[in-house]
Amino acid sequence: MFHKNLYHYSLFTAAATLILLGAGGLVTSTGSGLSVPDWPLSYGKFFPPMIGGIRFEHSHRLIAAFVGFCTFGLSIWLWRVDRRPLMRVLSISASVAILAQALLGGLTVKFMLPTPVSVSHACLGQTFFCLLCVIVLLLSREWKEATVTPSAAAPVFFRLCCTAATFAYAQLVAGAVVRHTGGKGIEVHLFLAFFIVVHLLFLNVRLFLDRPLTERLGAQMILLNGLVLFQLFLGLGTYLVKYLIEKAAQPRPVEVLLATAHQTVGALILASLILLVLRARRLFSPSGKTSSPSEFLELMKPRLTLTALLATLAGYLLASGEASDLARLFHTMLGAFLLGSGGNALNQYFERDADARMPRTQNRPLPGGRLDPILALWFGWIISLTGLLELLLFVSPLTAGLGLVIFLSYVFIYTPLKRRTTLNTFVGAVPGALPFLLGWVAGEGPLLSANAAALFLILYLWQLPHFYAIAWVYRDDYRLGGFQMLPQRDPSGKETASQIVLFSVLLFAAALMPFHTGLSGVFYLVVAAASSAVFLVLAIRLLRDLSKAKQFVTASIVYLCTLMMSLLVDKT
Amino acid sequence: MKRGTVSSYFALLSAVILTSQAQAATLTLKAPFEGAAPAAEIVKPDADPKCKLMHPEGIDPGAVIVNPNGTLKNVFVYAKEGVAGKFEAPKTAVLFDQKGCAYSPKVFGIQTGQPLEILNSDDTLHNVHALAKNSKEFNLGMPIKGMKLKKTFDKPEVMVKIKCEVHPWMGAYAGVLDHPFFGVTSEDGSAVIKDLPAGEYTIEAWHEKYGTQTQKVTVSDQDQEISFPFKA
Repeated sequence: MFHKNLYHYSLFTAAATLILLGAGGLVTSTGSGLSVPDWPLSYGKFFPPMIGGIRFEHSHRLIAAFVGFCTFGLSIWLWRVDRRPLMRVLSISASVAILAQALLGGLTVKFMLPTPVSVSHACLGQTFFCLLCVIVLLLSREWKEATVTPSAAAPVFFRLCCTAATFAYAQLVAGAVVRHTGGKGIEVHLFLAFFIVVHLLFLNVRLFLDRPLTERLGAQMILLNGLVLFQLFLGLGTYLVKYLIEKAAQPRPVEVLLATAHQTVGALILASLILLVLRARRLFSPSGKTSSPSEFLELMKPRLTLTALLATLAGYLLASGEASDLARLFHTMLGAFLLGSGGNALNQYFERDADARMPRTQNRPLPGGRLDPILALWFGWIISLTGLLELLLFVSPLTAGLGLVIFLSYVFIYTPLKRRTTLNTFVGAVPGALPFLLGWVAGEGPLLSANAAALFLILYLWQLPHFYAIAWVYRDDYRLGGFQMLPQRDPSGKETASQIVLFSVLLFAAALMPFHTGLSGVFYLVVAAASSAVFLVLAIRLLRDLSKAKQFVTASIVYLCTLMMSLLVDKT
Repeated sequence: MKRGTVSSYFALLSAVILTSQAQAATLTLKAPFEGAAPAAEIVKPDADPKCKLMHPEGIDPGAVIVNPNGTLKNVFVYAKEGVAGKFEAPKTAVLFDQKGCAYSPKVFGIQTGQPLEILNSDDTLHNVHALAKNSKEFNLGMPIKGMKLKKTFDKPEVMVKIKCEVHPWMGAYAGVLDHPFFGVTSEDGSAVIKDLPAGEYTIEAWHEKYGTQTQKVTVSDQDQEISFPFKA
């Protein structure tokens, strides 16, 4: 049963303890630890004059006494109303801990701050705070009345959390040592910080790829991220003002503030990780959907992506003449592959409902129910951004920019437009043609040149007859999926066929352009003219018999490959 | 070299050694200072209203004091090596006062076993924390005006830092030695080591900010003057 008053009282005690931690931190940061030489009284009194460091030291003692009484009250109350064995242990531990902490505080004053005692005092203080936070969690409504959600990722997340919390505790000890020895062991402290940040990244990936985890722990995770980020800045600031700048006669206010905030936020991070461990254990059962790597591979539509990649390769080779810089070519291909795969994954995420209605696509991982959509969404984003970064860092900003244009126009313009207007094909042809140009730019071909324009035009115009033919072949599917394609308002197919012919004529003209711009020679001109003529004849045949549309699609791919090959062969 | 010359040489040498046992001299040590004195780091004693009242303009912790005659004050000079024999600790105490929220003297020498009388002349609360490593460290509260405490150091240590944990700008240094051959440069930039027996000595000069320097000195019955130049 949820005990509201007890819960609020425990929350209050925990909050008071956080203030106590801050006050204790101030004593260390201001160097006031020995400003009151006696203990438990202060200069033989309960209230010494609050001057100099005594303000900090004596306030700390007063708050500590208050928290001590709060804790004894909490222990007694818990003992009377909560019979859970774990709670019994915790409630006794809390009182024992606060007593031991007071003794350690007295010892460190009496023996004039010996490092082991001061460090133990710092660590026990934060341990006590974590203990109270656990008591609060165990008293909360969530803990007492929670339903258990199945989650596949929960066991791994739980283990990761445990490791992260262990590291955070080690970090507390390391931090206390740094603080009480004037900078000793700062390397260990930094090293642990790195480990914790890496764990946090993994925790984020695990959590946000799993819908149940995201729904129930997402808010705490975001808070934790914020705390850790803040903590990194505080740590850096403390290091800069405390160890790199010459020491002042008395600690500067900024030093005091940064160092105290750093240790207090540290306590919050440690407690938050411990609560995350417990919540991950309590709220989830280890079952539910699992995802195999093959589902992700399918999500990337590797065949489609590889086709686009061939265009990128052709563009690269056409621009650079040869694969002289293999590393650059590799990064271009990898970046384009990741970007394309990510785009495909996101496209499938957005079209998962439509895909479910079409026989051709209803067995894809998302409509087939083999993959959690939120997973696909994250996967798509991460892969795309990785690809973009790859292009930005290892190829060139222009290439990355072009990649971004392809990605955005495909996922956020073409994909939604497909459901609204038949004009979508004209838009979709842009990201369809650009992978070629991406290769061209990556191969250091000039973007604003007649050659680039000619090549883009060929690729753009080629998309139109190619996709009209596909739209005709799968016209029933598209209708079921709710996509606006030309054949939908053209049952006889006359308009579709006419459009195919029209664009095939334009394509014929465009195919000859590389000769005029000086990119290629007579050999290309002859091959381009001949293959374009054949392609045009095939297009005209569709006017009479659209049932040959499927063969036309195959022919269009052969035709494009022929053009590219001859371009490469006959490059002037 | 003739036999006679050698023997007369040894005779002379042994005469010098024998007589030197009885001979002693006074060593005057000077600490000239070259360059401009660094600007004082004035501390606002806002933490204690009584200190603030006494120093409304702020307090100079006094790490570097350059005298009007271009010498450095508060340089602790002492015989680091070469002193032989045991020296009884004087019964007279070294007075160490807390006055005007500052220590007086700021740098001083004291013998092992010699009483250190700590006095609080201020109408405010001080505590005195001696961060001794060789002797026993102590941290004592002196909350009442006129309060006195007596402490001793039992092992030599140059220097023992003394600070007030209530008023962080208050700092002093004690040079603890098991012999009486030490001094602190005063307002004229000189210190005197009296009755130093003839012999070979290493003299060290210590300053809070400018560190230490040493010189080898041979002492006979002639009084000597040694200079330890410090640079800004």
